[in-house]
Amino acid sequence: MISRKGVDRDIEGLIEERVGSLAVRRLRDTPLPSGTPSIPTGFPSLDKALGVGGIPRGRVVEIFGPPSSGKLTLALSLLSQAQSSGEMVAYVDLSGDVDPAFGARLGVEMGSLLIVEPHSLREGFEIAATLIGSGTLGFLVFDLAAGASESKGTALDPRLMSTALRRLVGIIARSKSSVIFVNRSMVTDSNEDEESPGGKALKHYASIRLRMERAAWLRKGSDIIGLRADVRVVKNKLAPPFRVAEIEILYEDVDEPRQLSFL
Amino acid sequence: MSPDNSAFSKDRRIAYVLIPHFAAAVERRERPGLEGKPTIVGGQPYEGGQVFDTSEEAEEHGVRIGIPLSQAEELCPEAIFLPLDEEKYRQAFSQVLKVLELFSPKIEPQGLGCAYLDVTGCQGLFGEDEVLARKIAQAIQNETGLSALVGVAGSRFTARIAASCAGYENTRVVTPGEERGFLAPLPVEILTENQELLRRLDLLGIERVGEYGTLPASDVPVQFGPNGQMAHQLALGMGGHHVVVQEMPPLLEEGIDLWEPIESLEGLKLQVDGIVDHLAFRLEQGGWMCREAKITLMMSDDRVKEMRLSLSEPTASVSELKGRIERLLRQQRYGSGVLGIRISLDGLCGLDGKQLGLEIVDIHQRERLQKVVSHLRARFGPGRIKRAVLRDIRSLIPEKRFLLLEYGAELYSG
Repeated sequence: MISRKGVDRDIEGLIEERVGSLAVRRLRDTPLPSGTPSIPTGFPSLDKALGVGGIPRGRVVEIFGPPSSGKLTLALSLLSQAQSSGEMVAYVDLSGDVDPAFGARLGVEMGSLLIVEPHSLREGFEIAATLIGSGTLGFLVFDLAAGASESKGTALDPRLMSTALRRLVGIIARSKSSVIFVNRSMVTDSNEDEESPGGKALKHYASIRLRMERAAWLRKGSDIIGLRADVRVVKNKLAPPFRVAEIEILYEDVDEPRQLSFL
Repeated sequence: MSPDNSAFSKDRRIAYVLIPHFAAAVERRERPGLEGKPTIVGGQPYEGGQVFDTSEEAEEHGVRIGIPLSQAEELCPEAIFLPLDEEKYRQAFSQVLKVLELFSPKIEPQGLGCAYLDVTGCQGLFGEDEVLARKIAQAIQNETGLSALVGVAGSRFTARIAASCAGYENTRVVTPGEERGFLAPLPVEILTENQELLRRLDLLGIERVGEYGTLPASDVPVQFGPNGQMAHQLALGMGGHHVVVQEMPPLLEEGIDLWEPIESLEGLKLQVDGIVDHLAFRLEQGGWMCREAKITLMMSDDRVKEMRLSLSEPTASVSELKGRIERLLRQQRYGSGVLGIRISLDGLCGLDGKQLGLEIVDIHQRERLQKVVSHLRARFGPGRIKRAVLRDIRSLIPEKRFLLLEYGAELYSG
């Protein structure tokens, strides 16, 4: 019945009597800052699965998954959440075919979003590094999935990815920014594992990797009004990995602009 | 022969409040069906975490706090595994502390479910020690539904041991002068965790606290070193009696329940602003700033909608909090009316080191960003960094939906 836990506390009491108060201090006497600073995702289940309450600041996060699994939708929702937290945000669009109306329907405030359209992957990394290094940006989404093509010079060269990420990760760590890479995935013939292109650098440097898979379309009559997706944390350097979150993302009704609709 | 410890133990009275298996007890309070069943808090075994807390039944199977959950499952396969919700336990414990504040202003919380109280001089208000201890245990039971053990003695150590030996009515009072007699029959392991000292005592055949206490005080340091000396003083009932009051950040939470559901954003904003005003006032009074806010909406169709706000810099500014929360509210889809609002402020820190007002910081940030963008334009040429202006979001033709402009172009044209 009697536990020995806390005997040292009483001995501390003795020491304090002899030497004076505050002779012995413990770290837990002062409230510690609560873990890794993070930006909430807006999806409580995902916040919980991530283990740090959201997308961590100063870290790299990779979102990957098969086509049409909701990667970009999630990334844009996260941009909108970051704007709610008062962050300046940017979106690096390698393909140059971003649809701001889609972003607006997901709640992104377009007026204050920087859309970066680099001419090559290298340029994209350099602009991202400069923006993040300036300390003005809180959140950046780097979309590798859409337009990594040979002809535009934006192919994901593994060697370039490796050198660029090595530099970028250092800059991100010194800043308060969160950076999200959106990447596609493919099944290689040699093994059944799912691979994301661009070599192993991104897998290595990402603190958190999220694998997305669309579970279902959400419909209203015959119209698709959103999607339900399973997000699996396949790597997590900050909390236990392999948790799964189910999220639902609704596209805003085009007929009813967001600001006016309540019901 | 008898050490003169009566001087302090007579005028100092320390109470120790212990709620055994706190997290498990909180879970049981919510789910009475768990009563009598082995319960393990920490998550599911396959999640690979550690045991955060166990119930008494699980402990009997050898499950200990801190062991891997998978091992706990092997030891006690029939146990019920519950997810970890530290926030809930912290809130439950702050409720307990609030009850304790009724009895003494000097409270030293010691982890979840344990606290020391300096109850010196409280006897005039609440009656003798026995009555006081019973009142504390009863108040905790009535207010929080948790059953607490209370020990009262002249020193911290004795009070703690008394609480863990509490029997009838969950209380045990060690009267002044009774300390040695109370501790004497207990095993010597309660005095120290020092394995070397315990081994030496074992070799000498000393098993009980009383036997160790009878050793001459002058010889103990020579034989057993400083650890042994401290353990000897504990054996004589002389543990420390200072209760170090810790300033705990308050729980800043306020809410409102409504008769009629709110069905407009303006109505919701009005109510939320009222709550934020109250919270900001309390924030300012306590000299705190907050870094996080949690907004919970109780919807009329019984759904509960939770939103979290995390700020890059802590703030105490009402206008900033209101602005951020309003923006968050505007982004939500509701689907039904709002019947209740609850807002809590988290991540509290002191006001020291406060930065300039947000507006100034914001302008600085925008200016700096503008500079960086012009630098990038000079380096890579125009057309790299853009911003979108929405025109007709409903148009089916992409070109009519939005316009992409050079970021900061207005500055140059104007």
